[in-house]
Amino acid sequence: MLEKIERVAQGVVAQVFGTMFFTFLESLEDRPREPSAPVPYIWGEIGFQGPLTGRLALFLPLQRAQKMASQFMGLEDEEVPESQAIDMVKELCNVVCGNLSTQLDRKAIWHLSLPSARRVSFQEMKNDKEAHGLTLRFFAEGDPVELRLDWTQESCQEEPEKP
Amino acid sequence: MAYNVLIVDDSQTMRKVIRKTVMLSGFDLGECWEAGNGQEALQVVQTQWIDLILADLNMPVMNGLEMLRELRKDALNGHIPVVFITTEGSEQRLEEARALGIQGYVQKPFYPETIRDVLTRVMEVSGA
Repeated sequence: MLEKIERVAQGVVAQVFGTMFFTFLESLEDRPREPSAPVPYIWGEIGFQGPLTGRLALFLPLQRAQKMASQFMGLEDEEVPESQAIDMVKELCNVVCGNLSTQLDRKAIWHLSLPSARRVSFQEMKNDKEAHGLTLRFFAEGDPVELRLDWTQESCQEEPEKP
Repeated sequence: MAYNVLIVDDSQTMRKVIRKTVMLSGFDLGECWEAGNGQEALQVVQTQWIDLILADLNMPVMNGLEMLRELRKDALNGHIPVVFITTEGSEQRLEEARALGIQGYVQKPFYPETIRDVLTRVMEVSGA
């Protein structure tokens, strides 16, 4: 199940970033996580309930979120306010979680909570030492983006592997 | 003929993006109204001439399905075509929405052409 969730999550994140922001993601596995200078981050999260119940969180630097909001709204390089970037991250969580849940089980009914997002420090993000079911790290145009996924139930019907 | 459109989404960013996408898509847009949830949308419908509603499903206060149920009870405005633009794609949820009479559905993230094609088809079918 973990393997399936990881595969679907990677595909969904790549598809959403590509469609919404025309941004292609690179894997962060081989690169250092620490930013060169402490920068503020946005922490967005959303809960989901269905065959799996849990929480999806996204972390990205505030400046990257502002650039993405600007790209999303077609404002070229115009800087958008922090509030707009936070609103965009909430929508991003909603879109990623909605697509992820649907692709995991299209026949099931999933309930998504209203997304939330706030500004946090890099330290605060690092201090979240809970064990996460799945953590995916990417680079979006040079900036780190992290997705954390936790779930508590596993009643999702696994599709049989195709021969 | 230009169509007056009401965009219903709790994300101000998404409302702006949908508005811009509709404008750029070549769809004949007249006046464009916005609402942050279903309840606000029903208030707009009472006071403005609306030809088409583009709504999210997952919203605070009143969600898209609740809004649709209330709208269909309205003798004067119950006929207004509704298109859901949402992240949700489960078959059961869409079946529920179809049973309440949605005219179209677009899953986020979307391409402008998808929006244009759905809106054009909906307005042709509704004969507006």
